Amino acid sequence: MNRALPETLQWQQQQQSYFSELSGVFPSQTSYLCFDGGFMSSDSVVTREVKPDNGLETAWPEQGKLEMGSFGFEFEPCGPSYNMNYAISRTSSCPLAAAELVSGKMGSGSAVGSGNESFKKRKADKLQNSKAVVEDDSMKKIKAYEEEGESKITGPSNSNKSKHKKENSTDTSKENSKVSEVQKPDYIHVRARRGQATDSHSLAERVRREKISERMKYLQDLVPGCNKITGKAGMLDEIINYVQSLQRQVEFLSMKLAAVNPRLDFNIDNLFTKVEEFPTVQEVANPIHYQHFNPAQEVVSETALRRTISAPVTIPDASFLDSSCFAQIQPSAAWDDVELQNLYNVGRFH
Amino acid sequence: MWTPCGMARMRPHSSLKQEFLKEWIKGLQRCSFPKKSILERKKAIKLSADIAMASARNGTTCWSRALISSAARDGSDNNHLVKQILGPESDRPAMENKAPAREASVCKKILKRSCRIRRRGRRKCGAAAAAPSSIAKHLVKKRRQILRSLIPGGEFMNEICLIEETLDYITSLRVQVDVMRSLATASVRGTE
Repeated sequence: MNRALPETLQWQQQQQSYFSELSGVFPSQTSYLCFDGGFMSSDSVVTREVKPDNGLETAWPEQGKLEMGSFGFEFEPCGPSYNMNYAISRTSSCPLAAAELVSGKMGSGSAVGSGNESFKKRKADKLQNSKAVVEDDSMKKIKAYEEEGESKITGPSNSNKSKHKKENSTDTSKENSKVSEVQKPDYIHVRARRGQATDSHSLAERVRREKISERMKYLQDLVPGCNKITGKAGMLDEIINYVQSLQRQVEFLSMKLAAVNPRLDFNIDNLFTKVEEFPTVQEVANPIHYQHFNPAQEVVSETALRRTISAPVTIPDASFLDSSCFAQIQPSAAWDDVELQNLYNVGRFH
Repeated sequence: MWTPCGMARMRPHSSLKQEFLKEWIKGLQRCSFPKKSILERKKAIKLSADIAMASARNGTTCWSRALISSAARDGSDNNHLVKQILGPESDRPAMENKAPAREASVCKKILKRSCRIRRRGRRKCGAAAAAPSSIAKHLVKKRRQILRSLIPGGEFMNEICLIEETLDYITSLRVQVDVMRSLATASVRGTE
């Protein structure tokens, strides 16, 4: 549980670093970020709103006003606000009449608890203003649960008690091979108790659940910080957060690219050809700075970009630029992507 | 044993990046750029990136088809841009998507109708819902709904399909973010 926290913190820090990068690029972001709402497609599910303006000053005293503005504007129209509400509904104290009820009674309560901690650390300094909104929402949630009462409720509770008995009996009686795979009590506890189906359907249900859990395991490997969470709801939450953060990163990066390149001429073809043209630079770079092989190639690519963007530079100038750029590049942390190096490598040999 | 296609694609990571980058740059070059507004440029960049990402899958995954079809839907403002980006060579995935778009709207209606009926049925049975199973069910269902809204074309998938698509979508998003990030830092350094 504690190990998941640094990962999520790192992830959040990464997000924040993007925010700060972006705020460095623009002096005023208000118009842009309002427009951002149009791109998020998750509006249909979300009806709750975050009111960021009141709480912003109190919630983030340490960040610049610019970033607060950016946070606020982003959250207003978008889907992530619902997610924030969800996270907050787990961490804020009062409406956890609802959450404690949930975590107390759920079998995967420990999972929710661990999810609570990670969310607390991640969102603790954000969105305390939305507590009021969340309280109302959680009260509504409780009422909704009571209203939407199902007859299936008695069904699941009975079937849960008899589930283990059923498992044993079917193991002895059934000849299907898939039943033997199911004899794993740990995740049966954890999976949601929706086994209200009768015997004829139970096998299909079990198969389906097996498939789902298998795929969730792959997702666990993919999403960082998901290893410690065993509950389905918690894992889904992590997955949702991750997907949303990736989508947000794409938005910000495209905005950054739009800001940096007024003419949008990346000219990768030029870049690849220029890389071919400077084999000597590459060879000089390689033996000397082998551990900075990455930046060496990036330097060449940068000179190529510079060629396309600014006035043409002669080759001796290019080599001079290369050496001067080494000092700039070395402390960079962004160029540790070996795969991008491979990318450029392969591109060079096209 | 089921091996997810996402996992299979994770191994040739660099080739996927390369493909994405090529497609993206091609798409960007096809866009006409007398655009002064930064927002329009951003839209063009993001759109071409999304379409490049989706076309890298060549129509094998549901989300990629849904992404392209939603981008190419008639009546949207960026329709002309999409047509430009897609270009003549990628007619095939675009053509494939016209049928799913129609089916998609039909499926949506059916889903909505069934949800309405189910909700009505639930209200008729007025038992108290304080049992943990129902709350757990509701929580998971809510999250699944959110996930469906996030993944393009997610409304029409069942659970298993949804998780598979999520896997693939996450890997593609990662590739997209990595490539965009490196290009962004490269161009920032280039203009310094």
